[in-house]
Amino acid sequence: MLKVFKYYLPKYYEAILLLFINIFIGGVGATFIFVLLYGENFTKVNPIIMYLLPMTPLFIYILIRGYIEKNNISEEKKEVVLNRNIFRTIPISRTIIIFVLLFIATQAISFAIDPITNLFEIPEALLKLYKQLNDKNIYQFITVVICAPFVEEFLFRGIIERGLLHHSKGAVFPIFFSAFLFGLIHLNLYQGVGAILIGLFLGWIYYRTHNLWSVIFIHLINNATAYLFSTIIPEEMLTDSFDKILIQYGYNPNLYIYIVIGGLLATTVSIYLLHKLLPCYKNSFK
Amino acid sequence: MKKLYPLLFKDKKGEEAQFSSSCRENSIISNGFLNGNTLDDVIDTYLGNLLGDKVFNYFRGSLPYQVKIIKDNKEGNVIVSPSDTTAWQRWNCWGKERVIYILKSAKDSTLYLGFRKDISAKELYELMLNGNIKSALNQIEPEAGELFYIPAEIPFAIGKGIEYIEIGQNSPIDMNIEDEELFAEALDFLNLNSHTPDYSIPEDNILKIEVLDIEANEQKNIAVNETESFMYIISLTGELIVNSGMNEIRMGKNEVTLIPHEISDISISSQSQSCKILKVSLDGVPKIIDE
Repeated sequence: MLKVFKYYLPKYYEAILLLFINIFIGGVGATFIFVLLYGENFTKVNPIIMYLLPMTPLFIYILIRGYIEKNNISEEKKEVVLNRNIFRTIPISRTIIIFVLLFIATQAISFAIDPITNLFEIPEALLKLYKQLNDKNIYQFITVVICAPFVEEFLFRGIIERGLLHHSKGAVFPIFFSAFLFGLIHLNLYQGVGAILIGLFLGWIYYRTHNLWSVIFIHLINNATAYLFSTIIPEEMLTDSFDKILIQYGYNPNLYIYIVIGGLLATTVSIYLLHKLLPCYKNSFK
Repeated sequence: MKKLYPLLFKDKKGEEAQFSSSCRENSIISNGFLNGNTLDDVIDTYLGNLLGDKVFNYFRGSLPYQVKIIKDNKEGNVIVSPSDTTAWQRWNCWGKERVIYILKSAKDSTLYLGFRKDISAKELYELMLNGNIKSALNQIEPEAGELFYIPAEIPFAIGKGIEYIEIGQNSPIDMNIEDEELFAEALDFLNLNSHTPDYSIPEDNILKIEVLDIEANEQKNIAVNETESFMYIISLTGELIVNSGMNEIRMGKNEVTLIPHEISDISISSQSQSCKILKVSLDGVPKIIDE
């Protein structure tokens, strides 16, 4: 069944359509079902279901489009695989270095972009969610650290970016556009801007590797760090920015600046090294 | 019989000027008392002492792998070589798998390797007629220091602006499938399935290639005789001194030397700056012998 996805290569307008289906049919539909079944208590629904149910109409749509394209005999059949197993073909030592760099870059980026994400207020609803995370519920952990990376990478890199890369000449616009949509789906500026920035990195890595596991790995590391962070700091500090938290813990106010500059430097160096170390396919998505 | 020593080779200018340095069976030795002889003749005289007994027997007295260092590369045609089995059945010679080590790659240079997706003979034939086979191949922008393993039956082409070392089996069969006649001949054994280019040699392959760093003023000892084969040492970045006990040779940048099997060990040193080398050897012979 999974192989049918390789035939669906959305263009720009279709990528926007996918987002509409997700927000207006998936999101609204799922909320309606939750309210109908659980009434006021709908926030008590298992978070895994709460996350996956809104995605279902979108997946059904993508699957149907895949089947239609696969059985489309009138035109030349276009196909681009979702995942290339490139790490099987490069030396194991190089693979290990690449994954270490992916880990470092992911952490470094989140520090480097902190001053930008800080510009935006944390929304009430999200704060509520963060407070729930503080309960350390295993289902929440699975949703944030496992489900979200798999589902979102499949969608934004595997389907959308792959389709855009197939239809476009260069790589810049597809990477920016899929990152933009990735930010948009968060429906708030606080997460959205950060998502666009990390989405650019994810998009570039997927373009260079054509490998879903590497972007799932980055996403997983990013979410796991955020999850860990939100569980270890006290609830009353959740609204505070990272620089304020550092001061509250008694660190030198300048430490924040050093961390951001260090993050920028580490980001630059690790991205440069990744650029050198990753295989460079020119026409993998054509 | 006089003892062997690390062999250097004359550049064959003129006839095949694209090689800046090479070691092939008809290469002419340029140093020591064997100066002026072809490698082929020396193998016939020294047999297993030069190649290693197992290797000499398995490869029926021919040089198993040869080295070409290619500097002024033009846009190459799409080439494919048969496997050992096919080559022995049809042409009575060895097939060819090879490894490409990238020395330098201009920006936007392209290495074409293996089909991007499964392709039918009909589709490929049409592409060949339009002179467009390369569009069906994986296109890679290689980086200096990368290594590509190219199995037999997998088509490839090396684009303009790439300087590389080719370490390949000793076989005359390179078929340009952009040529209609050769295309038809190669179609029987050409692998039409999609292929993901390999950046390393498969573990179970007998060909072993290592990149080694020689620090300035360091002396690296490498055992030769305890392996089952001869060895190639290729200097990548600078000048080297290779000492085999009785003899000492000097190697320039991007030059190749063949270390005969009977030499017990060599020491390699770089006098001025640190230097990278390629060490090429065979780990025995293939387990299954095609007859």
